[in-house]
Amino acid sequence: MSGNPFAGFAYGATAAGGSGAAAAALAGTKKRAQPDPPQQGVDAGQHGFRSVRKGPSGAFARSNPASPMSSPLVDARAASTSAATAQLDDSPMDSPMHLPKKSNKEHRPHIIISDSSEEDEEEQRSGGASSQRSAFRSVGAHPEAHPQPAGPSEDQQLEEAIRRSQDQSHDVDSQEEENKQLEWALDDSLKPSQEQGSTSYYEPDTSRSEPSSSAADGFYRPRVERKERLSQEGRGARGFRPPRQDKSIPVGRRRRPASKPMPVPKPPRSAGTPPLAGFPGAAASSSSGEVVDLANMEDDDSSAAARVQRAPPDDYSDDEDDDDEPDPDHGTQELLATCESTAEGLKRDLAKALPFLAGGAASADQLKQAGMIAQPPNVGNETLRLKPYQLIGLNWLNLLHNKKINGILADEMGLGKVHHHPLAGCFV
Amino acid sequence: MFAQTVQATALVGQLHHQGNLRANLVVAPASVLDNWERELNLWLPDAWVVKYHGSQNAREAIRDDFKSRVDKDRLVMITTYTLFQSTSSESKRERKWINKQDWEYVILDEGHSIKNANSKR
Repeated sequence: MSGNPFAGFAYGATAAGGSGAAAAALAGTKKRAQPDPPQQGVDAGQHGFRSVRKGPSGAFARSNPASPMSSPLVDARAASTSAATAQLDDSPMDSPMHLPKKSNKEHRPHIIISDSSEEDEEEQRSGGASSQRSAFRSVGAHPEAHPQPAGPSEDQQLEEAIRRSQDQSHDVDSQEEENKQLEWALDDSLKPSQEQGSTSYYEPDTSRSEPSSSAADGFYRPRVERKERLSQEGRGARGFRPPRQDKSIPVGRRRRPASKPMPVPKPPRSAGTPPLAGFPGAAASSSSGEVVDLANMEDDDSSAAARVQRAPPDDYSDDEDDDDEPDPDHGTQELLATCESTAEGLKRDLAKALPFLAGGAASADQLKQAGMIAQPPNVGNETLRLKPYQLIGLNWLNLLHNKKINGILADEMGLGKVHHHPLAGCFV
Repeated sequence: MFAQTVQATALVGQLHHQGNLRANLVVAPASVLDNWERELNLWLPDAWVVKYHGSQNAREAIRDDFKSRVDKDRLVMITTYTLFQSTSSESKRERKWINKQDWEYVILDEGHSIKNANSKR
């Protein structure tokens, strides 16, 4: 039997949908698995932040990162899916850590400049020409928040950045006015951390307004190195979140309530019981003498079931990141694997009897030995006999019946009626 | 001739021979109903072949007959796809009745014409 065209046809629709989704998921995980090359990471981070600052509203700029795509460097990765882009943009902590790797020494001071008032004045003087610098400054603001253990979390920092961008659009004149606005904008949860640390983002610390000291450089470098190390280990940006020590401080609104635990991703169904529960034992169903015991197929069936157990591909091994949404591809992949292995097993079972069936010289005993139907009973008279190739189809249907699988009996479309391929795929 | 009709018929006969005690349903395009009836009668002379087709009164008579019969395992009922396309209340009632029956196999001839539960055909 040559390659069976109907196996593909029968679950072609499922395969098309499933593989498409699987490809998308694969692209996403692949992007996540390998740490970004530093150059591209820097660029994407820059642009992402610039979009945050420049966008009409922070939320829009974040969820729709059109600007990262316009960069030529990022264009090289134009194949990256929107999921991957979201991943990039979703991790603002990811980008600043790559900045030193750029070996862009002249930009370095901007990264660690912490005094926002100085920058603002500078920007006003230069008339907004230093948009790139401002972008860098906003990037540099993030490592700043880290030394405090109870500092604002990633989400809060993002909110702050968004708020800053809105404030920027308002063109605040004086530092006092800006501070007042920020106090209005801040919700109570943010205030404690703001009061604690003099290095807070919003509090312009005059004591540190001296031009980007080397002490500050030395102070922040270890953290940057740690981030690099973590990124090389393949840990995502979320691994950098400092542990929240003061539990009494309520956290941002996007935080999951403590009463609701994080959903644990379900283990693949095939890890436990094999999906085809009745599969191995379903072989022997002969209530009459016509069908012989099919117990010799047992080994094949168990091996097929074992293959199904091994079926879930490795692409999903690093899926712990997005535990929020259930993965719809798991079921599809599993079903496809089940169908494939089942069809393989059925084909092998039928192939055992094919020499007897298709040769036409099969004696009833030989067929019975192979567990096949020689001729259907109850036919009208002795002159009505099924042709050998029709017997194949009949045995195929009987095999499906014994395995409790619904199937398709089909011939090849458009090639006339003389084709000897009985079959088919399976629906489980 | 590949004769899936004959093969499906042979399977029905085989299962009945093995002791299957449930009726079978064949859904086919209206143009091949007669073909199905002929093949079934030829290959399974013992079977009780019923065409669930025609006027409302005829179908009701078939349903009544079905209720009263004991040898439901010999029944091979043939019907058409149009029964599952119509949205009239009568055919909805018929579909419910068909759903309620305990079929061994539902054989869909020209199965490429089935799509999903919501599509017309």
